[in-house]
Amino acid sequence: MDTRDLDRIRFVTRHFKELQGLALTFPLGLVVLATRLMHALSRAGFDREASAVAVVGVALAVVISFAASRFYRRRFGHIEPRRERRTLVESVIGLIAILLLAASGGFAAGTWVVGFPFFVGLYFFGDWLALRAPTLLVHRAVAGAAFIVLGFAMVARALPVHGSDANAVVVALAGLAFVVVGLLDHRQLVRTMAGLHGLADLPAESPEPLEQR
Amino acid sequence: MTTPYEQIANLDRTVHDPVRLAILTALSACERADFLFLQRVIGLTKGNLSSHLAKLEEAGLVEIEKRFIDKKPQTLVRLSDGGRKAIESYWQEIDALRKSATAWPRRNPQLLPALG
Repeated sequence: MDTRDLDRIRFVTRHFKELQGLALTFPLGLVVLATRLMHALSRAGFDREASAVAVVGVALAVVISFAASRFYRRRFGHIEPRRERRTLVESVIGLIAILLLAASGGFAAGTWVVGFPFFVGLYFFGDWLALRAPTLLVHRAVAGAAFIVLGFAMVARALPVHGSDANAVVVALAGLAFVVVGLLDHRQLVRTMAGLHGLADLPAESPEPLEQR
Repeated sequence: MTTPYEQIANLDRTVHDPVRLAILTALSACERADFLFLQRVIGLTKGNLSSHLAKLEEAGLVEIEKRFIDKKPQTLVRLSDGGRKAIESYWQEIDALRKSATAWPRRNPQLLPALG
C-alpha cells in the first residue's frame, strides 16, 4: 500500500455521498429530460402523451433513486460525513457561487424572471442535500455547474435556432449532462471501491470477527 | 540529533501498520463509518478488519458502537479524540522524517557507501 491508496481511501470516504451518481444526479437528469420531452410533445399537440411522459419520467427517476440508494447502502455500507463549520471565506465563495449560478440560469432560460429563482432554488436544494458535506467543495461544484450551464447557453445561442427552441436545446443538454455525470460518478465509485485488494491477503491477528462478539 | 532510522523506529507502531493506517485514514475523513464501508473501502476480510479494529479500540484510538437496524446488527466505528490526535501527529512525524531523510546524506557524506 502506498500514499496513493491512502489518498484514494480519503477521497472516497470524504465524497462518498456525492459519488453515488445513480441515487441523485442520474435521476435528476431523467426528470429534466422528461420535462423537456413533455414540453416538446405538448407544443406538437400531443397533450395526453406529454402528460404520460412526465408521469413515467418522474416515477422512473424516483424508483431508480430509491433502488440505487438501497444498492449503495447494501453494497458499500454507510458513513456519516464530518460536520464542518462554514468560515467567512466559504460563505463569501458560496454567495458568489449562488449569484454566478443564478446569472447563468437567467441567461440560459432566456428570462430572468424564471431563470433566477429556479437556479437559486436549485442551489439551496443542492446545499440542503449536501448539508453535512464539506461546504467549500459544494460551492466549487455549484460554481462549476454555473459555468457548465453558461457554456450550454452560449452553445445554444450559437446554434441556428432562436427563442424557445434555443432554450429547449439548453435544457436538453443540461439534462443529458446530469445523466452522463451521474453514470460517471457511479463508475468511479464502483471502480475505486474495487481497486484495493492487496490488504485482504494479510493475515488476520484474531480469528474472532468483531461482528460476532 | 536523531537519525532518520531512529525516527522510523520511534513511530507509533499501532498507527504505522499499513492496514491500521488505512482504517484511521478512512475514519479521519468522516464522522463515523460502518463495518461494511471500512471492509469495502480498504479491501479487507471480515476477520482481518475485526482484529485490527479490536487492536485500535484497545489502544483507545477508535470507539465502536453496535446497534440494530430492522433487526440487523450494525457496527459503527469512529475516531476517538486520542485517535484523531494520533493520526495528525503521525503525519507530522512522517513529514519531519521525509525532510530529515532528504537532508541527512548532505550532512553525513562520509557515512554514505561508495557508489559505483
